[in-house]
Amino acid sequence: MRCDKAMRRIMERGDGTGYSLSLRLHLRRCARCRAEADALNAAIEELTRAPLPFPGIDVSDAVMAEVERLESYRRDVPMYNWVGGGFAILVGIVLVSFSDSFAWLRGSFGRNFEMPLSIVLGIVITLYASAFIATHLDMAESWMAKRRG
Amino acid sequence: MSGNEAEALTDERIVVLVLRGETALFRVLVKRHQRRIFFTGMRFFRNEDDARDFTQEVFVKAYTALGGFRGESRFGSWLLRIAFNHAVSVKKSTREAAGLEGEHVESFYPGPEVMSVRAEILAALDRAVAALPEKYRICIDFFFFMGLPYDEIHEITGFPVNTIKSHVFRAKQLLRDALRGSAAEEYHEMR
Repeated sequence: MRCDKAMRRIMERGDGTGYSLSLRLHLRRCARCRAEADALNAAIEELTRAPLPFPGIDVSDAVMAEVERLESYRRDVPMYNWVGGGFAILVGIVLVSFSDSFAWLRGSFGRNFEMPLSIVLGIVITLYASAFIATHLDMAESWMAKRRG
Repeated sequence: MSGNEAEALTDERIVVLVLRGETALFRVLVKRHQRRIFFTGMRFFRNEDDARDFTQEVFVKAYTALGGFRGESRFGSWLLRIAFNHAVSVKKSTREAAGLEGEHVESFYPGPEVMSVRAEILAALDRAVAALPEKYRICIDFFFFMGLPYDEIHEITGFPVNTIKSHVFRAKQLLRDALRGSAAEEYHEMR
C-alpha cells in the first residue's frame, strides 16, 4: 500500500481503531505514516477530551424559572391525602354495618349477603392499595436500593 | 432527593422522574448539557447573548417535548437534535427577515491564550469550517469537539453519513497539513 492511500484510509475512519490488515502492515513498516497517524489521532483525541469553552455559562436558573411556569408533568397526590383516603375507606367499611340500609339488606337476604359484600369491599381495598403502589414505585425502588446498600 | 443522588442518576432516569412530576430534577439535565448547547448556539449565532437566549429556548423546548423522548437514542443526542433544528429554523427566519446570505465566519474557538499546539489545530479547524457551506459547519464541532461518531451526527442533523464523512475528511486533511512539520509534530514526538 502506498503512503498517500494509507493516510487517506486513516482519515476516512471515524476513530483511530479498526484498521484493515493491509493498513496495519503498512503502518508497521512505514515510520513516517505511523508518526503522522499518531499525531493526527492524538490531536483529535486532545480536542475531543478537552472541556468545551465557555465554562462560566449557567442558564439553569433562567430555564427553571421558565419551566416552573409551565405545567408539571404529573401532579402528585400528597401523602396525607392518601392516608386520609385510606382511613375514610376503613371507617366506611366499619360504619356501613351500622347503617339502616345494611340492616334492611341483612333482613332481606340473611347471611347470604355477607360474602358478596366482603368481595366488593376487598376489591375496593385492593384497587386503592394498587393505585398507591403504582404511583410510588420510585419510592419503593429507592427503599430497596438502600436495603441492598 | 439529595444533590449527590441526583448527580449519580443517568439522563434517561432523570427524564423518567421528571415525567413522574419531579420537575426540579430537570435542573440536573440543564447543568449537564448547557455547555454543549451554548457551544452549538455560538456556532450558529456567534454572539454570547444570542447563544444564551438560544440555550434557554432549547431547554424549555426540550422540557415541553420531554414526553416524546422514547429513549431510542441518548438523551444528549435527542437534545442536540432539538438544538440543531431550532437553530436552523431561527437562522432561516432571521435571514429571511434581513435578506442575508453567506455570512462571514468568525472563529469562536479559544485562540491566543491556549498553548500554541492547540492554537495551530484550532486554526486548521477554522480554515476547514470557513471552507464549508454554513449548514455543514456544525458537523466539524460535533465531530472534533463533542466526539460524536458519524452516525450520531447523521441522527442529529439528518445530513447523509457520506456528506458528513467528506466534510470531516477535508477538516482532517487540513489538520494533517497543520500538524506536518509544525510545533504539534515536535510536541507529539516528545511525548
